[in-house]
Amino acid sequence: MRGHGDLRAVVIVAVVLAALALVVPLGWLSLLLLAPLAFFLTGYAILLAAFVEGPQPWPRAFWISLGLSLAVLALLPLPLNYLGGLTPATWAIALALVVLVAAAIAAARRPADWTGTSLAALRPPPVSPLAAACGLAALALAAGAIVLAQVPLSNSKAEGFSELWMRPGPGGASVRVGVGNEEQRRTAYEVRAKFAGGREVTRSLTLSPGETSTLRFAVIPPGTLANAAFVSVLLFRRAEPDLPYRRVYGWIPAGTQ
Amino acid sequence: MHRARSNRFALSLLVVGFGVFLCALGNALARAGSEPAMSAYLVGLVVIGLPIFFRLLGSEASNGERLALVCLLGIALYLVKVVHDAPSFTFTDELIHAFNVEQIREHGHLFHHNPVLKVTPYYPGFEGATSALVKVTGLSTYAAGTVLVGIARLTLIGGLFLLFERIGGSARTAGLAAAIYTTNFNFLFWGAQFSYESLALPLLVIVMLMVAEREATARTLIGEWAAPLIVAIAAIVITHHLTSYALIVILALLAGLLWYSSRNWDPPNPWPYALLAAILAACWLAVVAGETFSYLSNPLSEALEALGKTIAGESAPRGLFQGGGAAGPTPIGARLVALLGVALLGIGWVFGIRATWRRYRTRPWPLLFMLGSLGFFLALGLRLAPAAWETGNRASEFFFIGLAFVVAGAGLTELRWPSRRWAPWLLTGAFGFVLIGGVISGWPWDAQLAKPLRVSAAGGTISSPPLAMAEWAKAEGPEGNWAAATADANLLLVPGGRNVTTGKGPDVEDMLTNPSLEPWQVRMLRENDLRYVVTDRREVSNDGLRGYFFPLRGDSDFDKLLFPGVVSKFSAIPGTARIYDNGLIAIYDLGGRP
Repeated sequence: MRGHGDLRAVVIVAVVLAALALVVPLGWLSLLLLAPLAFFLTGYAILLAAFVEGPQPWPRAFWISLGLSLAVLALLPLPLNYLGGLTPATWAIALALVVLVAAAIAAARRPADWTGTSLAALRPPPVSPLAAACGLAALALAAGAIVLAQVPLSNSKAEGFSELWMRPGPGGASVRVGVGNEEQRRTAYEVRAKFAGGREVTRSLTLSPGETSTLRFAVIPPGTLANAAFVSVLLFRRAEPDLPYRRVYGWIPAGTQ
Repeated sequence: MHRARSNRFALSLLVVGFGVFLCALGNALARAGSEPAMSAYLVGLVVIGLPIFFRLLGSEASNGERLALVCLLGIALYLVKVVHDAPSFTFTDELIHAFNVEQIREHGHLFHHNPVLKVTPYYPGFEGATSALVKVTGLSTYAAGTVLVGIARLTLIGGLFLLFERIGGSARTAGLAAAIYTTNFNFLFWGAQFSYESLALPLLVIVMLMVAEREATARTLIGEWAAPLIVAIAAIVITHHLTSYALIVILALLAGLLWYSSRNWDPPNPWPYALLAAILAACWLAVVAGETFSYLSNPLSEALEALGKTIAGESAPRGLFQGGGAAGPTPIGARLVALLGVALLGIGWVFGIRATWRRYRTRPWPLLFMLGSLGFFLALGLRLAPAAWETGNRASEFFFIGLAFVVAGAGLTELRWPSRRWAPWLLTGAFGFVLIGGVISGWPWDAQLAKPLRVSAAGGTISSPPLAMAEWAKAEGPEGNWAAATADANLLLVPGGRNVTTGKGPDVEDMLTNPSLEPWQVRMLRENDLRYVVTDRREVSNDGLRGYFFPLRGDSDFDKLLFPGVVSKFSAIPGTARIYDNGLIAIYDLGGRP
């Protein structure tokens, strides 16, 4: 690529961005680094390779580059699927490689006396303080909108509930019983586990909204595949101790897959 | 001059930012069960759309400002979708595609089975592209997908502007046409969801732009477009079936129209690209995505049959605004706005088609757009046939490209207005009705605003019953095959990560809504090796749009319950364990006893 500074710059930027995006541990920062490569440079490199006289004029080159970059993102998984799989490293290498190969093709196709222009010649328009302030305020509003969308809000009409579940413990010697409080308020529960043979074990617990707890009950004698132990578990709210609220049951151990 | 324009654009930016915030506020109020949620949301949409359209109508804005304004409009409307449900996917198709991404993330390879929509893994372009961001950055599928669709939206709207500018020869026409395109029924929600068409449609527009640019290129340089066009066409073929077929039709029509106008098949006639697209699509269908044929042919033949019956009077036409599901009908005022929006588009089209014909009748692209605009109104007719409305609704995104050009390219800029002073205000008002009308027509009224998926309660956060069930399934749920109603199944895909069957084939839907246990149900469960059955008392659990949220006290329409037998009947199957219970939803393990 001697004599083609624009191509060399595109390749260097692509390789550096790919490497940095790969090593930076923060997701959003990594995305900021990857975005120019994934959403622009690959497509732009293809335009450079296709058009000997230089890519289309702005803003067409920009939008076609965006589109082609999306196309490259859609197409690359196919070869990657058969060449090492879709891993962070193969993705980063593949994206940089697209730029490298396209730039090499562009360099080979260009005549010796090539004097085309490139997108790098573009200069952003000047921005007045008022415009900058408005832009920042708009960004803040958009960011505020997205944050607001993500904040869970209270809603007194939403009907809360509680979860009860059971899963076999290891070796048929125990059963794990889970209680989840999805009620609107802190709730006191009583869990009654009834085993084959009539043994009954009761545990109490109190959970805040969104909280879960897992209890472990011993199965005596332990169940076996030939003689599984039946367990029935009832959940009561302490405010209504005689009204079964949830019920699960099953055998310990459970049937195999 | 430049500084004044820059300041004006910055003010537009600020106003639009305020509009997006209002929409977010409307959604937040809706989640909190407070008022005036819908008013804030609708005012927000108007605040976003109207100032931009007003500015685009004028003659002062530069070409660059017009492009920036339409991009601002497109992105702001996308943000309205984002603030609807962040930080979770809640549209039916989104969860299905998110599951495919999770499969790629987990296995590092494509083509993993999707139990709910089997055809989707065979079009891996979109999920593959998302996986690039997920894999390299480590972001969640939601975050990566939201960014990817945002870039695709930007590509779509900017590409449309440049395409319209190339064909119409005017940035003003292009800006207005691109703005009008944003009023299409599916722009705000359907087209912005995390789904393969959201990437394929922008790629289609970029192919159209490149074909148009190719026509304007010197004859000796036309060949240079080959590589970019091949890359983009191939990407569409592996990304979305319907869009690839639309691409073939568009390129073939364009080739035919170019031949008609020049009696010449030589370049720049795009017939080789139409042929290439057809060959690639056929090869992909034959070699990789064979299931697509039955996936598309069944609903298409049903749509045609339903249309035939409706026309012949053998079946009653479908009533409009029937998307409300259990939540009740669309209010009369909203219906009127939607109908007024379509009527205004019709009026614009009548004027536009005459002017376009007078001005461009010898040019292939405007003729193509005129055909598209006609197709839009024909597709509206499909909405009256019960099994065809979805086909008509989906087609509108493609046809609207033509309609937008016809209405804006000729209708708005060519009219002789009696009062030049009031015309922009009237037109901007009309745009407002078309924008809001499109939003109402394209998405059920009761689903316009967010519903509570997670709720803040006494210092903690609680999840809706189906979401809590899916979160439990992810943390504690056993491996194996699950059966569930549509909404539960979608959540069992993501975040549940379970292999779940739903719908009619096998007939899980009828099994889960029938209160009595019948032999065919047990047989079906055994034959399909469906071990874990998720039962749900909520009628809305079969609704892939509304079935994810909290039941709300006092919302009796939304909170209709099925007979208790739909849950309790499974306990009658010998050896069945009941392993999860949250009141509305219970999970049975048919192989509970060893």
